[in-house]
Amino acid sequence: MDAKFIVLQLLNSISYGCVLFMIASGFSLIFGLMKITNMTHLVYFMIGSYVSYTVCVWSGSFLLGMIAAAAVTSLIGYIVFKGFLFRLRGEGQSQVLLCLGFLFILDDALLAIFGGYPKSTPTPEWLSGSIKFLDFTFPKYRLFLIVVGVLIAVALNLLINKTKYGALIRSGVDDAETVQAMGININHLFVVVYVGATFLAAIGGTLGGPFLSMEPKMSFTLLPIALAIVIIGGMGNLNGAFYGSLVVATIDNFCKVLAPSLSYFSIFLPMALILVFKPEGLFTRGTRKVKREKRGVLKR
Amino acid sequence: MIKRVKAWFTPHGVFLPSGTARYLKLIVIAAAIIGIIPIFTQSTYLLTLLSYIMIYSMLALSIDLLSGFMGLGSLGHAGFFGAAAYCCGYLNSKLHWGFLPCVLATMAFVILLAMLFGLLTSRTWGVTFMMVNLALSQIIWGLAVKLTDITGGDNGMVGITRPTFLGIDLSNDIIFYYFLFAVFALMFFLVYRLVNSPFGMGIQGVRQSPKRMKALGVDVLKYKFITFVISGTLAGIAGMMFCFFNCFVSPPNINTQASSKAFLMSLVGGKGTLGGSIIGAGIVVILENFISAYTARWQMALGILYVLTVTLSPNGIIGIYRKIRERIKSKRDFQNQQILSVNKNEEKEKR
Repeated sequence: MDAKFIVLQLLNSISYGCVLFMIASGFSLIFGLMKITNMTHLVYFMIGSYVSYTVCVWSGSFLLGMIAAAAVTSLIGYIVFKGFLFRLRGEGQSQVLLCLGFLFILDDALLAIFGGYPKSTPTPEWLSGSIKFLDFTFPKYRLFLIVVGVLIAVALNLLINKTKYGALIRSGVDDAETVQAMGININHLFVVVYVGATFLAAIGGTLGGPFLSMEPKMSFTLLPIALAIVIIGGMGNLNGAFYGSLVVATIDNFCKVLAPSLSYFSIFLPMALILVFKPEGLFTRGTRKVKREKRGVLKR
Repeated sequence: MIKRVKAWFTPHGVFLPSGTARYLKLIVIAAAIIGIIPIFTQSTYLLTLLSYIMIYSMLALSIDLLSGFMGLGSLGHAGFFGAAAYCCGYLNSKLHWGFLPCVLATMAFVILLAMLFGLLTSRTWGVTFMMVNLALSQIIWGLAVKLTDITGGDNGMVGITRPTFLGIDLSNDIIFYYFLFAVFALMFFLVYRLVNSPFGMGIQGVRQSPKRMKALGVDVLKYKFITFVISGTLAGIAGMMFCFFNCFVSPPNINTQASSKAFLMSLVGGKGTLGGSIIGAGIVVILENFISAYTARWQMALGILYVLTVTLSPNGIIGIYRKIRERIKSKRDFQNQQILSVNKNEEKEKR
C-alpha cells in the first residue's frame, strides 16, 4: 500500500469513472428532464458494446464499430421512446415499469443472440500496450479513456451551459410546464435528449468494451451503480453525475482491490448516508425546498 | 398503544367490513376448492404449483399493500423476502433451531430490517422511492452472493429441513400444503381487515392526497413508515414460507428479476385489489412454469408481460372486469330508461 499503488489505482478509478459517467450523465438528464427513471439505459450501454464488438471483430476497425453501435442503439432508443414511453408521459410509475420491461426484453435478447460467455472487444492497435512515465507503467487504453471521458464531459458541459439547447434543457429540468407555456415544443426536446443520451450510452459501451468483460446480465449489476451515482450526485445535474461517477468508481475500485468481499456493498454505504442526511443529493442546484421537490423528497 | 392497534383493526360495526358479503360466496368456494384438491389428486406437480402460487400471493399482497393502497411502488420486496428466507434457513440448517424460535427470530430480524429501510426511504416519494428501494434490495442480494460463509454464495443455502410444529410433521407435502393454506388465509384476512380499518382508510387517503391528510392532522410520514414496516414483515413471512417449502434458497430468488416478478403479480391482477394480487400471482407462476418448460426465454416473456400490462391495462385484470361490468350496466340502464320512457309515452297516449 504505497504511493505508487494508490496513484495507479486512482488512475484506474478515473478511467472507470469516465465510462460510468457516459451512462450516468444520460440517465441523470433523462430523469431530471422527463422524470423517467430510464432503466433501459443500462441495456443501451450493453447493446452499444455488443454491436461494437461484433462490427470490430468483423471489420477490424474500432471507429466503424463505434459508429455502428451509436447508430443501432440510437435507433432502438428512438423506437422505444416514440413508440412506448412517449405515450405514457406524465405517469411516472408506468414509465418506470415500461423501462423495466424493456430492460428485461432487450437483456434477454442479448443473451439469446450473443450467448452467456464474457466477451471483450479487441483493443485497437494504436492504443494497445502501455506508457512508461517515471516508474509508472499504465495501459495506453486507460489513458485514452480518461482523455476521451474528460473531453466528453467538457463538451457536454459547454453544450448544457453555453448553447440555446442547453438553456432549454436546464429550464426543462427546473420547470417543464413553464417552458411549454413559453411556446417551446418540449416534446421535441424530450426526443432529442432521449436519443442523445442513448447515443452517449452507446459510445460509452463502445469505449468500455475492451475494458470491461461484457456479459448480458451486466445491465443488472450496473443498474444499482447508476442509481447510486444519481442519488449521490443529484438528479438532472451534469456536474453531479460527473463527480458522482468519480466518487463511486473510486470507492468501488479500491474496495475491489482491498476488500473484495465487500465490493458490492461498499457503494451503498455512502448512498445510504446521503439519503439520510442530504436526500436532495450532493450537487443539486437551487434552494433547499426546490431541491427536495426535484428529488421527489417532498411530494408536489 | 394497544388501544390504538385495536382501533386499527376494529371493523365498522359488523364482524366483516361492509361490501364483503358480495365476495363471501366467492371466497368460500375458492377456499373450498383449494382445500379439497389434495384429497382428489396426489400429483406433486399440482401441489407444488399451488403452494408456489400461495407463497407468491403473500408476497404480492405485501407489495399491493404498499403500492396499490399507499401508492408507493416497490421494486425491492424480494429483499425482505430473501432476507427472511436466508435468516430462517441459516437458523434452521446451521444452528438447528426449532420451528417456533426460528420463526420468531426471523420475524424480529425482518421487522428490524424493515424499520431500518423504512427510515432510509422515509423521505422519498414516487419514482425516487422505487429506485431507493431497488438499490437497498440489491444490498441484500449483494450480501447473499458475497458472504459465502453464511449464505453459501452463488451455490445457495442447502440443508434446510422442514421441522415439526405442535406435534405435526411438516415434512409431509400435503400437510405442509394445508399449513401454508392456513397461513395464507390468515394473512389474507388480516390484510383485508387492515385495509378496511380506519388505518387502511388513512393509507388510501395518503395515496390520494398527502397534503389534505396532513391538513387533517394525520402524520403522513408515520403512516408511511408503519405501512412500510407491515408490508416488509408480510413479505418476510412469505420468504419464511418459501424457505420451508423449497428447502433451498439461492440468490436468483431475491434479485431484481424476482422483485420485478413479484411487483408484476400485484400489477397484473389489479393494483389496490387484494383479490387481484392472488389472480396475478396465479397467472405469473403458471406462465413461468409453462414457458420455462418450452424455452429459456422466460425473462423476455416477463418483459413483454410488463409492457403489455402497462400499456394495455394499467389497472389489471380486475380493472378490465370492472370496466366491462360498468359498460354493460350503463347499457342496461340506458335500455331500461328507453323502455321506461316508451311506457310513459304509451301511458300518456292512453290518457
